[in-house]
Amino acid sequence: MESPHDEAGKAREAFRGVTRDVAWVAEAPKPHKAWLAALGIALLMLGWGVISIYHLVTTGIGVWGNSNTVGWAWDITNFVWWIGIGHAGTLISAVLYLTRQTWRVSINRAAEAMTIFAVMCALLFPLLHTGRPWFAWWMLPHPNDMGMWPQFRSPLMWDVFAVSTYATTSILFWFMGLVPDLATFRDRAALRGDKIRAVIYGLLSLGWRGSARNWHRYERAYLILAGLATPLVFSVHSVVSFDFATSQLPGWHTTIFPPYFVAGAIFSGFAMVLTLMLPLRHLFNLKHIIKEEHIEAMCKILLATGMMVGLAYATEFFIAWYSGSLYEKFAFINRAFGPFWWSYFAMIACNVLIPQAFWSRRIRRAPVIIFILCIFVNIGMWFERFVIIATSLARSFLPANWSYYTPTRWDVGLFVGTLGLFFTLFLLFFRYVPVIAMSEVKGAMPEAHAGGSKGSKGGHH
Amino acid sequence: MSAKEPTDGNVHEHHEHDHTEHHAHDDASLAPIGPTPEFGYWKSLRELEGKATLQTDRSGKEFATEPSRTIDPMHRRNFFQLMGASMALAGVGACRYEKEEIVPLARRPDGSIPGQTQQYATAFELSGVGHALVATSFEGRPIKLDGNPDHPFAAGGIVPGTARHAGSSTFAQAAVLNMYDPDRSQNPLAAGKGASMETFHAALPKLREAFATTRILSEASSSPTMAYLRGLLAQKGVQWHEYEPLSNDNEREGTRKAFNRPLRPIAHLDRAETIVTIDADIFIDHPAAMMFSRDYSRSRRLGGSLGPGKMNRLWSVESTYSNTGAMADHRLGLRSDLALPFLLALDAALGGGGAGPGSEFLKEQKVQTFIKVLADELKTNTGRAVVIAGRRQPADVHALVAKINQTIGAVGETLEYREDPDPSRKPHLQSITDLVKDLATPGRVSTLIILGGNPVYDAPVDLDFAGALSKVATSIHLSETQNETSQKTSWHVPRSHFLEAWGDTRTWDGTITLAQPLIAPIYGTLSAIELLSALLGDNKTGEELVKEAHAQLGVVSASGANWRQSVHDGFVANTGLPVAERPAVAGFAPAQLTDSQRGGTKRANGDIEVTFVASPFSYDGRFANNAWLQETPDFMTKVTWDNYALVGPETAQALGIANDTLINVKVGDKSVELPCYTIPGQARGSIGLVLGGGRTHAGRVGGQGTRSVGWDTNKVRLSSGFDIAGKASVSATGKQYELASVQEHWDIRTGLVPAVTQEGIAERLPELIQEVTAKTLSETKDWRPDSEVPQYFVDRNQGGSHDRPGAGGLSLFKEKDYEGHRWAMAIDLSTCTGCNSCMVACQAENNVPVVGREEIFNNREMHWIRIDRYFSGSPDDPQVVHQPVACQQCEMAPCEQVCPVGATSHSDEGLNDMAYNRCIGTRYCANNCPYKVRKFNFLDWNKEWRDARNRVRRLLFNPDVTVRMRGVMEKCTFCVQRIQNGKIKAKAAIRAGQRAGTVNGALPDGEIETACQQACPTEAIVFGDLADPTSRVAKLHADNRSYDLLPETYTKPRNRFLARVRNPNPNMPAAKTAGGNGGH
Repeated sequence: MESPHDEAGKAREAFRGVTRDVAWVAEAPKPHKAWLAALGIALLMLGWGVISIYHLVTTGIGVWGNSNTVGWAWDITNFVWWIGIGHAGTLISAVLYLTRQTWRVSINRAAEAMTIFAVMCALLFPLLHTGRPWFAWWMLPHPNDMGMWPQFRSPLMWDVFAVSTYATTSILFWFMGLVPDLATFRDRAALRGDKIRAVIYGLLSLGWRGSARNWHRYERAYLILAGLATPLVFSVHSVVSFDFATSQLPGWHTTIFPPYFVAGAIFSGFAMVLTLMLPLRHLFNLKHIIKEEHIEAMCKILLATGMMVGLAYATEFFIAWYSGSLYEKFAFINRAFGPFWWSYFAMIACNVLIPQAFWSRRIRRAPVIIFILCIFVNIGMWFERFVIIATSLARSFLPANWSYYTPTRWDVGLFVGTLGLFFTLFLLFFRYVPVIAMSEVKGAMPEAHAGGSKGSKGGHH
Repeated sequence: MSAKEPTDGNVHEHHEHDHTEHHAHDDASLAPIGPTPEFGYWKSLRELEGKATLQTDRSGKEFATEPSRTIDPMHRRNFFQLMGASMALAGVGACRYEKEEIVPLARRPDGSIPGQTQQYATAFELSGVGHALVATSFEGRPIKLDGNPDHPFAAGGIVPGTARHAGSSTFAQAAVLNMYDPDRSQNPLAAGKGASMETFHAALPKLREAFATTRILSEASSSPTMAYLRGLLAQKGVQWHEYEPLSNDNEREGTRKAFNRPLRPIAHLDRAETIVTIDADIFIDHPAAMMFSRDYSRSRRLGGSLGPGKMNRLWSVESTYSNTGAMADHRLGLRSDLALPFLLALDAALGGGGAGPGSEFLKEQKVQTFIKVLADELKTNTGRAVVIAGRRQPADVHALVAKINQTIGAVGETLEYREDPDPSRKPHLQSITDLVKDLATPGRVSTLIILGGNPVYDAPVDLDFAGALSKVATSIHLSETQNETSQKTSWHVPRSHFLEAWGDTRTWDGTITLAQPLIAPIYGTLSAIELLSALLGDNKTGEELVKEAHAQLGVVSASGANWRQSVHDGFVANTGLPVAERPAVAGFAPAQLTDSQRGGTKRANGDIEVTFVASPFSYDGRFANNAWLQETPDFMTKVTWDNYALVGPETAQALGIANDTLINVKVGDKSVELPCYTIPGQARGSIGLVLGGGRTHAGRVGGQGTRSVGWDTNKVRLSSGFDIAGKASVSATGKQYELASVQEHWDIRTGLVPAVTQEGIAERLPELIQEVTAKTLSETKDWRPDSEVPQYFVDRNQGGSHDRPGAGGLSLFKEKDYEGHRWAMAIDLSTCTGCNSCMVACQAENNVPVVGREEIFNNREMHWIRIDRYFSGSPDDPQVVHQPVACQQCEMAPCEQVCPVGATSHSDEGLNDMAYNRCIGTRYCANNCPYKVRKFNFLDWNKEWRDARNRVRRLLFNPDVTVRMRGVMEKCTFCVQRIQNGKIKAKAAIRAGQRAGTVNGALPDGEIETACQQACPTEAIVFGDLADPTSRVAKLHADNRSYDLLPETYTKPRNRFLARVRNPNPNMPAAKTAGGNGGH
């Protein structure tokens, strides 16, 4: 039996260890070589994206592969994909917080950052896919002397509100959680005599003192924001799915879309979290914070959501047949066996078949395999959106209009550009911002509960 | 048509003055055509073929991005345009309005109201045949051409008592663009170098000294003024030749054989119960095509011109599948050279004497039945039937047709013969052959004056016209643009467009039709008659010349009393050619049958027949630089921006070629390489070569130097096989060339299970395009198309809206109640011949941009109205169904619900309006449109017109219609500008007390016409106000045959289609169609 005093000392030591392990990434005088290499690649991709945007805006949507038949293709596919990716961040930070899933603390910071960056990437597409992006602000309701007002029956309008709310809430939530950790960074910078960092982190930490009152307010605000963010996990992607569900187009016109899209979003989001965390965990030696159990839990979620989307695919097919509608039936048969069959089967393989591997505990604990499988899930979820959007449009009601879609280098360029933007931001985040929610990790550590009853969620320091 | 004022020459004078590369693909492994046991509806052979085997070509590469195919402007458009775009961005130029200069009209000409258009009668001549037109002029510049609804030959309504109407052809519609062609020549050229008109005039006196050795080679002309000047020149010893690459002389010579004098047969289809066409496309490629279309549609309805319960039946025998074949109730695909034995057999079956030709092919069951049933029907319908042979067919065939027409009692009933205006003229082919002979003989010709035309390009290749031309000391070519011939002559003189010059012509019946100018020549050019006058040393103006000639003819009094009236009307009344009173066919012996004509229909390579087909894009090549026409898809092939060889499925299989294979066609020792289009219904052993491509000096649109649109099929057009050449051989070159079709965008990738595509089409087509037989329709009183608003909509709200009783209701959105006008359209699929006039008319009226070949591949064509075409039945004997589709102006428009900025919204009159400057271009509306009629400006299609050298083209824009910028959506508006103008005019007239009515009340039916309706030669498109129950459109909407497209989407379209009525002979075996509900 150790004395309470010893216990407190050990706990302090453990907490300090966490701070040290997280802070060294930001405080290392020279960035890691792998980090620099990754940033270089990300910036190159971003550069390609910038050129693609320039060419797109100056020349017109005609630089893409879109046509009069296939009005949306990679643009909206990418939009939905990115928005979906963001969802896991919100789910991890808000829903798992409310449901007291302590394992979330190791990854929630990065997952939230991922949400924000993904939403930023996503927002580029609705803006740039318009023929005249310089007038995109007409989508916002604003008083004006032209008597113009948005048209609220359009799901695109709903998107504007859903996505902007989502972006705002996510940013607030993320920043809110950052404040105590930024204060830690500030203090450590001040101790080291790094004045520039001390000022910057000082401004960002909003005068955090770590007082009981501070903590009290923080906990309240965090809870409220978590409460606000939770419905967004379900509402945002439901609204995005309305773009399709409320239309006339066979293959889009489906009531199953809201839950199906949400499940898919969480599925792709978790895959992306893993894709990002696994290499970084390895690179920055955070294995004792992001533990195997955490990864395994996420794999289980992937397995569950993967089967949900699989069920959705099957349901769609059944309903298409059951509806008795000629056009509906054709849309789905054509999807699987028509000219775009390869994208359909890519989707099925990546989203339904490959995640079945997670039934195996051995695989759930093999980071390399998980990483590879998650890449497949990301690809598969991209194809899901592509299948829904492009294949339905390519062959709608009148056969004379039937068409095919092929992307151009500018379609690819913009997509790669957003990947570049995402990774650039993520790498910068990793280097300059507390990448793991130190205060929350500490709260979830066994040492934090040493003095009190085992079940308590004290977590106050 | 509102008042037309004679201008008397007072023309306002305030005017200032894409291309393709041939991509060859080295992919020779082509899919053979497999057996296709069941047939439904299908779009093209290659799609049907897909059932047998997965296509190669692009289909093999799933993720392929072919450089030639991608829309990448980097190589699609030229480098300078991209540069321009980048420059523009530098100042975000894209968001700015452009600076423009305006020319104030300080002294306003009498009677002109700024901003209002005026209409003037004029005429245009194509291959020597006049077409009476009305030109619409906006502040002194002509912007639109339409048929003259007052002209005795051109005009006439379909339904008695309805508005006057005169349709027009695509060429007539597009001709106005030629005037504003930036590639028109502006100055004479002397030996290839720029010269002035003065130097040309100064060179003329010397030419006058050598009149005895001067020859004139003119394109065909029926102008009385030209004939008059020709007479004057003949007196001075000038010899005259006339040549036309697409000539009707075979018919002329055939009648000469039959009657000992040339006569012009003119059929009256409105009186015919049986119409038989022999290798003739009477709706498109015939001098009287517009009249035939109109008369045909008069008798093509139960209760039409034939009386209650009666409707015509069209039989078509032809080698290539033409629009006429597509309209036919019975079609026989037959080599063109077998028309003669076919007719001999028909003649024999009609009891015309003789035992029949005994050709192999006549033993085929299909042919035997066809002839027998046809002959029986002709016998039954004596005096109510007519046979028409096409211009490709030799004189013998035309003579035989004359004989058959006499046998079936057509003459004087369904057919009249008119005297030829110039019986002594040599046939065109003979005339140019003689000329070339004389040119080659030293000393015979010192000066050759070529009036129009382009003989270097289109004269028979064996004559080597260019070689002969080089031997002449002085050669002058009068031409609107510097074409191939201009390059070889010592003088090129720029020619006035017909809208810039006085002239006259004769319509096919002979009525003298006046062409008055609407604008002073933009470039100080000369018309043909002015050139001849200058040559004579008179230097008279065009107007003086026409007046003089008409005074000589006696059609205008010396005082000119009726001149103003004629100019106003656009024609001189009662000047039609005299009708020959029941001429009797003299005995004639048709030529001996050749070996080929004694044979069967299956032929080996080397015994393939080649026929020459007039181009729907460029006619004979003359419209090659006309981008509107180049981009108007051919009705049958849906191909744009190219010509090709038409090959039937069996021939293609035998030769091992497929769609888009580059083939080498060899006729005699001449050969041409061109891509082939495999088209079902093309006769076995026959290949159709479309003319008019491969121009080397057409201009920036049609081809310059090595960049050219299409392929020069004149290379194998010999004087011995000018229309039909036998013994041709075909070989695949192993290369591919992709034709830009607007309908089969990528369909060649038929997917994992190709049958999915085919069955998908076959299943839905019977719903989309409704068909019924005349028998069913007349026997079943309450026949309705199988296309109703689904019961669940009806059940939910029995009340309904006023025009669809019982069909209101189940909608999230409030349905609108309409007071006042309710604009609507009806399209009769029974009489739409697929002539494409509506497409070009719409393009001209609505400033619809042209996108070019590469963008057609990218499926970005901008036509506001298109014609969907599908095949049904088996590939050797297919039927065609088609459907013109414009915006359906849905009352519950899906596009309106999804626009986030409300750029597309509903008007109180039921129009689905589009506010271009509100559109931000999300394209959501287009995605949600079940008809896919919305067209997006993917790029800046009008960029070229900002280039200084192209500025003249901008004068053509219709000022009533916005020119759309890139990034916005556009679509058919039901010509809203015409609606508003019509309403304003009516209101003004009512307020001024000039006419009765209430200011906001109904307008007289037919007062407002959409551009497509106005151009439609068959009045298949009817527009009007549903609020007026007596309007034609209201009656058609209530017709039993009418139906909505895609009623289950509950869009409540304001456009309704009328089911196509087929009228098969009950004794003919039923055509194999898949699902059609024709049998209801």
